[in-house]
Amino acid sequence: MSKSSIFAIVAFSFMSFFLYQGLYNDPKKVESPLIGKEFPKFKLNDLFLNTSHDNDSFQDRRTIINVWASWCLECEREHSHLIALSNNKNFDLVGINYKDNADDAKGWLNMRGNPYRIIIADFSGDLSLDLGVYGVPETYIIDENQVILYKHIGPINNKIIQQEMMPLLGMNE
Amino acid sequence: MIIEIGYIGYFLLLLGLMNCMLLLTPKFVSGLNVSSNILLSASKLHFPILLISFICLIVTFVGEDYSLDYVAKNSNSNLPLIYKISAAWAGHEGSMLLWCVVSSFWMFLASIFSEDLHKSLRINFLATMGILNLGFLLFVVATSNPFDRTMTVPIDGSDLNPLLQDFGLIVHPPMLYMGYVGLSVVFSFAIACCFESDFKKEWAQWIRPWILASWSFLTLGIALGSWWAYYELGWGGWWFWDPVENASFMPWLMSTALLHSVIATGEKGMFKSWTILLSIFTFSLSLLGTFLVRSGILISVHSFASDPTRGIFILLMLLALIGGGLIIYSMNSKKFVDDNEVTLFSKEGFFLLNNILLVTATFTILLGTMYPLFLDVLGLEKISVGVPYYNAVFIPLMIPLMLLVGYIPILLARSSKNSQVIQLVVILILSIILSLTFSVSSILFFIGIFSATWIIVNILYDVFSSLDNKIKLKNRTGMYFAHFGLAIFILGASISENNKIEKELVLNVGESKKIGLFEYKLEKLSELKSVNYDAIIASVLVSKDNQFITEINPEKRLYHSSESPMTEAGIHGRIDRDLYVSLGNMIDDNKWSLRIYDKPFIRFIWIGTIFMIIGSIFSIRFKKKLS
Amino acid sequence: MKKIFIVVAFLFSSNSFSADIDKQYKSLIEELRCMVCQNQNLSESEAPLAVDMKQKIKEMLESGKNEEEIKTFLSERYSSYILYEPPVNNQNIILWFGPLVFIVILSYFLFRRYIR
Repeated sequence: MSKSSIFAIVAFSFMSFFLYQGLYNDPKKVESPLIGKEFPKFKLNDLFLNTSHDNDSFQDRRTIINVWASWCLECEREHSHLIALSNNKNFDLVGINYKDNADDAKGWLNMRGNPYRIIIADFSGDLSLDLGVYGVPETYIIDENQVILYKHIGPINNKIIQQEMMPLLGMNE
Repeated sequence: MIIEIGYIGYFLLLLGLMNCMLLLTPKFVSGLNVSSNILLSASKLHFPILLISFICLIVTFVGEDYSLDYVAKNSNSNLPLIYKISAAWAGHEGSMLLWCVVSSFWMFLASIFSEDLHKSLRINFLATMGILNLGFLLFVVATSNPFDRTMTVPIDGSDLNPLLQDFGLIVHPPMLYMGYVGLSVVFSFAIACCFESDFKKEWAQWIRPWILASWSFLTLGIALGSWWAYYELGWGGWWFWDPVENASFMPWLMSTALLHSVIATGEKGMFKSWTILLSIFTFSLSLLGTFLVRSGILISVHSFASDPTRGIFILLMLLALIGGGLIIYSMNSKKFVDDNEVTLFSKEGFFLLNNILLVTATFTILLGTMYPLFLDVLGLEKISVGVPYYNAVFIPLMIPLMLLVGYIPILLARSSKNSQVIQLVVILILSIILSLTFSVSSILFFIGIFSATWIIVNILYDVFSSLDNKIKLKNRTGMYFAHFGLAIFILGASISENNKIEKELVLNVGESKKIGLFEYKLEKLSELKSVNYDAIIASVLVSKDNQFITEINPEKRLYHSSESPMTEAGIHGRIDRDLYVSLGNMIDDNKWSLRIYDKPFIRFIWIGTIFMIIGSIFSIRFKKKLS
Repeated sequence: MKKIFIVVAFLFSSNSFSADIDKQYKSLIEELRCMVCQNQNLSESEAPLAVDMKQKIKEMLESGKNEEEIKTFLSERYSSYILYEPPVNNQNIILWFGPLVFIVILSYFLFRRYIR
């Protein structure tokens, strides 16, 4: 067999391997470049109270930050998980209300329960742009120094909480 | 009654499978005294079997048989009849069956027209086609059966995707498949040639019309797709370097290389191995394209509903095809000794250069399309490869190619140095005048104008200086038309990009605004309730210097089956300019945002492709008489 | 070159300043990918995120930022995926130089085989 043919077959086998692997990847999921970077600087109002929040509003411990909106259908699916997580006092749970209407957002929470310690009202979407949000709901985990450790796009479920989030929250079995 | 049709259709698919296996028995089952007549008959029989099966599928659509899952997902009782028919090939399963029908049709033609071929060559040729047909049909029956039943029969179907309820999208897939699948004939022939003692010139001449025919269909299919995107998507664009567009463009580039290289093989017995190798790779790219579109591996406007199982099947087919093809080639390629050597400064030398450029261009597009996937699988940072990349890498490859194309008539004429210089000066002057007429905005634009002028003037010069030599003219007609078409295409692409005007504006009813040379007035808005959609139609009056020119009617449609509205652009098209109006958003009852595009000479893009196809047809008809 | 042009034009006419910004804006939004409708560029997409991003880009251009700075800003937040022109870095070296290497190798082999 000629050298070039062997080369072509090997080259093609390589490519097939990639194509095969690619079948099981989700082409739409993009990893965040902010992992390992500090949470962006912001100054926004609270959803309910007449106070403003900035980076000092975080407690110096592991925190789950959940980006949600009342108009987001998928947020419905994960809400019960967030309520359950809010009972765990080993980490903080903060919400960012994304591009919403204050009354709609408050009403949505009143009906379903409020799992968040505080809720940052990002009506303009500026903070979320700085976070690289593009698919609500999104969930982040930051550490004691506000460094972003983790980002998940889409609703969270038990598997994601147990396998991906809990280890980062310092909660190993 | 209708229910039975679905079963008949499926039964015929199984019959087709058996027919293919029967076809292969003379070849692969030795010891049985089986005549090759079985192979020949089966190769012809496959087409009517699959055609009737496909007709059954169409009947189930027209008859509204929603017990079939595929029909339920792609049709609706309110769908106009013509779209009920075309819905048969709108989705993955049906279009795959169409692929099989087209494949059986090419095999049928190959069988009929190969009677005078050397016997062993013919048998291997048709047997290879038989294997391919078997593979495709197996794929349909195993993973993509359009005759699958639903668990519960819905009252009505989910309707055909509104984007597909359109003439362009009725014709575009069949034409494209004729092209893709025609290349499987070329592939099969190349494989069969590998089993002979040599690759005879006569055989290259024999396969050449088949290459040209496939190439013509591929050109037509791609042109239709581009034309459809232009008038349907509402943004005035005609090529996006979308992965699926690339998937069709790669085989097109390779088959362009092939149709040149096979000329040399047929006339002078040169480039034998290269032509065979190209034939194998060109069809492999067709199949790779199919894989990319149907596996869900890439994001694209085009992607069918994805399923890893299907992807794996096609991937295995691809592996078998390329691997098998290359193994057969490499085991036999020593036999292919060229009859002549190549000198660089000759027609054949130019073919070599043109092939190098075209194959590199193909590789480049493949690289750009697959690179994000490679990085993703390796866990590296995901990137996007889009228009800026392709423009940066593809255009520099095309420029030397255009210069070669234009030089060919001069090379053939062997004209004196003096007349060559005169021609060049004339062309330069013409290009400069033309460029200034359109006001140059970039060096690339000038290069485009120059290339087109270079090609056209050289062709005209050769034609006019050969008017007495009818035979020479006849032999070159195909080439002249095709290359002329290329030049027209370049003019269209260059001028429409350079001189386009794109503006977004807001108009009240009764208000008008001037853009470019024309005034656009939003005269009125009207509503229309059609069978399966509701529309708002705008009446936009266009005038120039207070002279009424035309009325353009862009629409915003909401199909009953869809949540988001669709925009139908209104286009006033002339050979020298398109005025294109698209509705944006409703600001209030009498106020809309509109997008207006003024695109000079954009039609040259598709007119150019028509000339290319005409050229190809001439080449098929006017076969050169060789001694 | 573009920067010099902007400054000079600004000094002489505010009209041509915004015309140049308009041109930059149009070319930028065609080079950026919509993260929501990922088979469209920002110019084509009407997704809410795209609308917000376009607004932000306009603001950044008007405040004097150039194309490079805006692209960097967005890719820091959304990764290089948002850029239709892949960055020229170590990871993408094969992408950008592959075609050149390919044509050299192919020409070498074909010339050696066929041209005497």
